[in-house]
Amino acid sequence: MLIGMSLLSTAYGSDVYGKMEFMEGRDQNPDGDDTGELLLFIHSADLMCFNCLEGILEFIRMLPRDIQHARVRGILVPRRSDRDRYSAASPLIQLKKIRGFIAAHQLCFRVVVDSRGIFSSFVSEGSLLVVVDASRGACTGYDFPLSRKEKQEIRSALGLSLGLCGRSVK
Amino acid sequence: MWSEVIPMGGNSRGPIENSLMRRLRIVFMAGMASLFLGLAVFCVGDKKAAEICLEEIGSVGTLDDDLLFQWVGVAVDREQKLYVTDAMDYRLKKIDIQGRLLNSVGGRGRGPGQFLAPRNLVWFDGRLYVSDQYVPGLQVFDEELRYRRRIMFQQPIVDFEVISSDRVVISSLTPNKKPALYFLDGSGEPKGSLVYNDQKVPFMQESVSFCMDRRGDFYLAFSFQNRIEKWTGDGIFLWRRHPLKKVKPVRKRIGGWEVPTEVVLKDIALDSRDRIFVLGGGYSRNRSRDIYVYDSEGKPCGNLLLPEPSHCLYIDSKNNLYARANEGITLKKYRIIETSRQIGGRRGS
Repeated sequence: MLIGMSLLSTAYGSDVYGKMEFMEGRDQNPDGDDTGELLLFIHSADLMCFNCLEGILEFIRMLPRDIQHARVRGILVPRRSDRDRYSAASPLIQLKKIRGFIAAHQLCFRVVVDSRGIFSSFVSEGSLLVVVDASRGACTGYDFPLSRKEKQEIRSALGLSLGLCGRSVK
Repeated sequence: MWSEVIPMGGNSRGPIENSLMRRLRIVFMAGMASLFLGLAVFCVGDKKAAEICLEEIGSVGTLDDDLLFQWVGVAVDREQKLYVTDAMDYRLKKIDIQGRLLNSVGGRGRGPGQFLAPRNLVWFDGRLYVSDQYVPGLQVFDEELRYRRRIMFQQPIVDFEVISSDRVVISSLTPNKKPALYFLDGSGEPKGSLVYNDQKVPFMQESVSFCMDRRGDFYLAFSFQNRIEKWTGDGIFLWRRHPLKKVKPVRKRIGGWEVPTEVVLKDIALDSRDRIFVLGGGYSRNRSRDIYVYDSEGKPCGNLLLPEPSHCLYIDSKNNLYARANEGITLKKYRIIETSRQIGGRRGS
């Protein structure tokens, strides 16, 4: 969590648009346990790529809604060409588009826009999932689509395993 | 004439007479020149060149509302109600003249009334026909956006037109086949084709957007070539034009395929006077903003410039042109205006 926070602290403020609630409230986990957090870096081009999107959505669908809300944070990284053109309006345009995306897929986590491309190197090869595992003091990055082993690792880092009906079980 | 009046080589008249004749000649020549120039100015000045321009008259979708997120296809019905496909939220939307959302259907999926990547949209006689990049065929809706049926077509649809309730024409990406427009009936049964190239060509090379005029002639804009063509509905080639200058489209090898890297001509549309509007792509001087205008005989009528890049053009029955703005969250409406200009600098309308 600390590593995740330091990564995003450079982006906090006017360069990042959208809700940043998890920056304001450190104690998202009132029980104080060390289960992991997920940072989902979404390359804007993937929103219009069927196969790319399918991998991301498959991952989201495997997470219960309460886990999404509590432990997942999304960062939309626009393409360079989108950032260079119409620079004044572009972050607001991207914010609106992600609003539509969130509504269309009924996502339960917040997404912010990295308007300056601070994290563009993260998504140079597509969207990326970073698992911040405080219990091990480590960050791990995953490309999409996730393998079965990677899904298990992520569940373990979140401190949960899925029951038969897919609801979170701690 | 002058050689008859003034003898060449020999001066049989006296010096005073020659000088007078010389002056008269000069005056006469000056007078003739003035007369000629005056006529030229009169004739040229009287010529009028038609100029086409766009006047923005409306827009739908803003940064703050939740109306459009990434619109792709657009169509207008008889009452000027707008229909759009939105690729970000997988919906088909109906919007009134004031820009208010009247109805919306869809959702992500492959079922009836659902979309994975809604694309082109055609309104015809109270029905809406919608293509999807990842779902075969066309879905048909009524004006209340109720799903009616599907017209099956297994190949990816690049563009399509509706000729009647029982006839659609489709352009497709069909590797290893001669490039053609395919005619289907209402159930998707093939009823013929218009082959516009006798040779099998590299994949995507002959991909076209197209439109059809009232006589049933087709105008093709090649997506990856600097070329537009006109064909009759019977398959007779009429003419070809090259809207851009000196374009050499680049191809790239990806996997086992050699594919084009940039769209040359993005879309084509007709207005009510059968003028052809062709939207340039990545090789145009103003990327995705230049519009090349021709008459039905292929004669250039001028160029237009959109304020922002667009992925498509649509012209309704009242000669309003629709294009993209704000990277797809706004739909702009323009009136096509024709003005006449006096050649020689005087302008009029």
